[in-house]
Amino acid sequence: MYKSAMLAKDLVAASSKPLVLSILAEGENYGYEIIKRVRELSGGRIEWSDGMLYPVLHRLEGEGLIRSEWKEANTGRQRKYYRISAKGRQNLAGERDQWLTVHNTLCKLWNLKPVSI
Amino acid sequence: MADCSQHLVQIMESQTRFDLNAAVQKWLQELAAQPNLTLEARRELEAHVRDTVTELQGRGLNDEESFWLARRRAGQPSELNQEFGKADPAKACREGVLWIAVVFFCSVPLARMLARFYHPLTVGLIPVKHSKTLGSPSHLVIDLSACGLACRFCGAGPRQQKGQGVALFNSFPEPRFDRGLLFVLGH
Repeated sequence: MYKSAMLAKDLVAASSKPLVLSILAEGENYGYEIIKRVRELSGGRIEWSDGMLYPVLHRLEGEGLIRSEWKEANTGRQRKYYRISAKGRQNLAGERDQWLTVHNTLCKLWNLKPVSI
Repeated sequence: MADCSQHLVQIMESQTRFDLNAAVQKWLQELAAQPNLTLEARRELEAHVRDTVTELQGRGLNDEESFWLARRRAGQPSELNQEFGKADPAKACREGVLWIAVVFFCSVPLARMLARFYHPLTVGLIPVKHSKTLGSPSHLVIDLSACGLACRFCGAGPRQQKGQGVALFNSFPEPRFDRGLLFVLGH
């Protein structure tokens, strides 16, 4: 019987952008919490290498999809918070459409209930 | 006697006591040696490691164990350097320009060598002595276009889309420069 395991690296890589944008669409956040949130939501099956999330965040910022700002947290520690931009929201809508198209195609093939796009 | 043994214990403790801040600073110095890890990137990584240490301490690990694990999770400085380099659009652009220049300057003598025998656009069909375009501005434009296309084809230039998070997931193939070179040779 198939035992659920960690996601394949290709899939994890491809999903990093929509995951980060979706989390930031909920509200501003910082790297450490983004990693934790992905781990929790995926039940531990999507595991990002901690330090490597930051280059992805910087790339998304370079593309103008997210913005960042240093702020002082409750602990007094400085943290860099990210938030999604208007361009990022548009991009996320496109990503959502594409991922749901793939999802629904597979659902039909596997006789599962598709979701509305 | 009791005082003496207590003093010895204190000395041993002070010698083996782990200084978290000193360890973090030492680690930051290692990061600073990496060219792509800017001060801002290092600050961000430090904040992340300190958050991880706090979480691990909450689970019962001591300072040294927490830092060791947090640092391990953050990744090797060389790997971080590689990934941050790919995420920098300006650097990727500079790399692209460099590759285009390299391919262009390599292709010019190569194209001229080939053109001694054949017209550049009709390899194998028209002998060069019948061509009036060789060495003309149009030949240069064609050559330059071929170089540009070759660079894009082989993956040089800004490639944030293609190379995103390579070390994070190690799943994307590296650009193939030899394919670009074949394109130039074909030209």
